[in-house]
Amino acid sequence: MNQVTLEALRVLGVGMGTVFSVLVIFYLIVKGLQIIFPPESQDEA
Amino acid sequence: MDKLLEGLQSLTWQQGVMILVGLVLIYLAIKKEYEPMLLLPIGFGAILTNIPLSSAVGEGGFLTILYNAGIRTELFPILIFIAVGAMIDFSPLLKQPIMLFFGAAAQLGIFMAMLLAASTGVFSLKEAASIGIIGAADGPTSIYVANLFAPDLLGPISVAAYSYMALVPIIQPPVIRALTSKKERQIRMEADYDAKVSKKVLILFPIVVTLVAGIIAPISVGLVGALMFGNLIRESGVMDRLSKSAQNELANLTTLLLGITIGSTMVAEKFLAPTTLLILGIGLLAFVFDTAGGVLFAKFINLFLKKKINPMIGAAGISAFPMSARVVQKIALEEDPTNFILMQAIGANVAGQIGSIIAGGILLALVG
Repeated sequence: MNQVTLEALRVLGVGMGTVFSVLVIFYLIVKGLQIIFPPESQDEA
Repeated sequence: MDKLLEGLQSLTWQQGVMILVGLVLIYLAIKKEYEPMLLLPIGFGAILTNIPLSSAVGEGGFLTILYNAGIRTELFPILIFIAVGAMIDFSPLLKQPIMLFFGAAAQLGIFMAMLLAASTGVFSLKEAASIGIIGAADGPTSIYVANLFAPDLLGPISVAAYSYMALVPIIQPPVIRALTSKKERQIRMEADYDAKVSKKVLILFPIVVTLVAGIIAPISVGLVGALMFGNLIRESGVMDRLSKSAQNELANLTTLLLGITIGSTMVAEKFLAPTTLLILGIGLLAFVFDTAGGVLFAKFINLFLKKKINPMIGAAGISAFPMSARVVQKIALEEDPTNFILMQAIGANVAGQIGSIIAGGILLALVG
């Protein structure tokens, strides 16, 4: 396995992990925002 | 007379092939309606570039001027992001934020394709990352990353990205069917069609996403920031005129210029190389891995859920909006004409748009 492949493997692991982590953060943010700002009858989409 | 025949005498077979490639792209755009807004200008740009002694390229050529002004500076992809942001309605995702996870899982194709490209031994890590980003299923992100990491490969990467996005209805179904049983494809999902999202959440979402993504990967601020700026214009409710301009005039004009300029990168000597075939092949596999990643992730979390998720929803986690969601709904209806999962699929599809841009930013941070 060449050096570039090894580095790509590392990027695969770290990259997918980071994408998931960031989207988990977004999930928590959305949940938090929905608790702080629940939909109101005249203020909703 | 010699002067008039100079063009014909200078024509190489490679240029002839590239002109044919351009014609094929125009044919696909017009006859098959495969991403016509992009493939037609790309095809015509390829023809303009490969006409012998073309005045459209080179010093003073308008395509070269456009390339230097709009692609080399990343201006065109950024403007497209603003326009796309103004077009995106995040509310289907905000009503069911759990779909964000599918937007993450379906980015697997980016990294798997990068690994494949790297393992060929032909490409450097940056070139491999540029090829991998075809799996973002998101043209501007592919152009943005490829232009930074491998400008020489921009032509084939862009063509692959846009062509495969158009081919999502052909690429995804066999992968979905191979990875799911009929019973799984018939799983029904409850949807709360009356769910509401506060206007404040819709406004705060693009701001918070920009801040978080920017702090984690500052290099992604250009990508994420432009998209979210466009979305903020839309959701603010006080810039209606500008929002419509971004969605229409800005999107149309930039798409037109972007397409023809990308076409101008399809120079025969660079495009007609074995690496182009490799890029096209790996790009196709990127879409396959994207689909597989989303579906397999849904199957995995089903192991822990009482109320099962239709695993096809995972396939809609790619950025190709709204084709991917439509593909999933179409298969669901084929299996059970009364099963409607479009709302969930749209949520996952919007998540894919965020996921792809985040993945692009992370790739820039990790490989750059």
